[in-house]
Amino acid sequence: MADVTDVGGTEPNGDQTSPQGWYFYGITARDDTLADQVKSIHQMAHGEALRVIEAGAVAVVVQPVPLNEFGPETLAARLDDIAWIEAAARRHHDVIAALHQRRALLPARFGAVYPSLEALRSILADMHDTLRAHLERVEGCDEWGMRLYSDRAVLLRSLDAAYPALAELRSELEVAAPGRAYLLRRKLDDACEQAAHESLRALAEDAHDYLICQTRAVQFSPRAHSAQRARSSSTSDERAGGEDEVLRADCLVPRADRDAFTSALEAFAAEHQGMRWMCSGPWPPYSFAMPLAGQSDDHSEKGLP
Amino acid sequence: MNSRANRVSTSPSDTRQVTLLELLDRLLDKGVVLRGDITLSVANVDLIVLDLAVMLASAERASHLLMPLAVNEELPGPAR
Repeated sequence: MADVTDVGGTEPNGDQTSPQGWYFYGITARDDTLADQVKSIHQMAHGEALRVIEAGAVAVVVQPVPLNEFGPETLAARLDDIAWIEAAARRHHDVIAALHQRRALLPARFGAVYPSLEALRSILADMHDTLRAHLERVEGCDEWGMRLYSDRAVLLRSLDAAYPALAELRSELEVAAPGRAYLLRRKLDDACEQAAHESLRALAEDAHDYLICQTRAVQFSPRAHSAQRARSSSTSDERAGGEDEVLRADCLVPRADRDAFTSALEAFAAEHQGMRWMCSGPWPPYSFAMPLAGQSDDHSEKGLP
Repeated sequence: MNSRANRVSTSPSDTRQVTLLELLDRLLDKGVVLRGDITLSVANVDLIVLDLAVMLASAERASHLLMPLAVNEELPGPAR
């Protein structure tokens, strides 16, 4: 059965007035090295000692926190306090990043707190096999966030070749009387917008397929790009900068394939005029801890809409 | 000029301090929740999640909290 291992050695604060909750950092495999590793990163947590709760072959890393810190009123006030959010986010990330450097880890959602260890233990027992499978998936991998951008002017120039109707409209426009020209101009703008949208979508699919093909071990977080594509079409600041976001995705990359991954990105961008890329990482696999069983969402199967 | 260059920006496990914006972009709405429902800080439930993604997005907070950061949004870190 599950048992609690108190890794830090310090007892929960005696003069605590608030009921205690358990801040949840992540899930990992249970083994003999875990306790020492958790002890070694204690300073990242800035507070009570981290604890390890074990159930079968998996374990979670938690930290005692006063429950009132996470009560509705306190929280509402704190969301206006960027300093508090920053401290909380950094603590969350620092602990997770330190663990991720040492072992396979499924990071928890930012701000998950359990009022009791019993609840946590029973959930762990219920989901035991699923959690193990997810841990195996992220073993030896880092998450990378990638973005591809396309220069708007270059894209627009390329459209006439692919869409003859645009060229026809343009030549009609040149000889049209002013009233009709106004209408044609609007029609042309709409047609260009539509063509650009289609073209970007096709580019996104090409990029996705190319990267999958070039880097077989890389897994995409499908939810990321379908959602982000929708957002990018209405993001005016990208437009203002003269660029469209072609693809935004989170990728699970085996450490050994890191260079192959960036090379593939580089190669794809080089093949397309006006395209540039960015990627950020290595991160703990924040985007690959979900969805767990029973939490699948509608977008999870198909990468692109 | 180099804002238009291709680049890899490395995260904290490598060298540099990650920006708050980058961090929140990575953290919000991601990670394991061990139970279907996400409850917004209601007492006496099995799980309390600070659903900052929802709360920040739904309030004007998002604009005044994150706008000052967004101005400097360029992903920092060493160019390749």
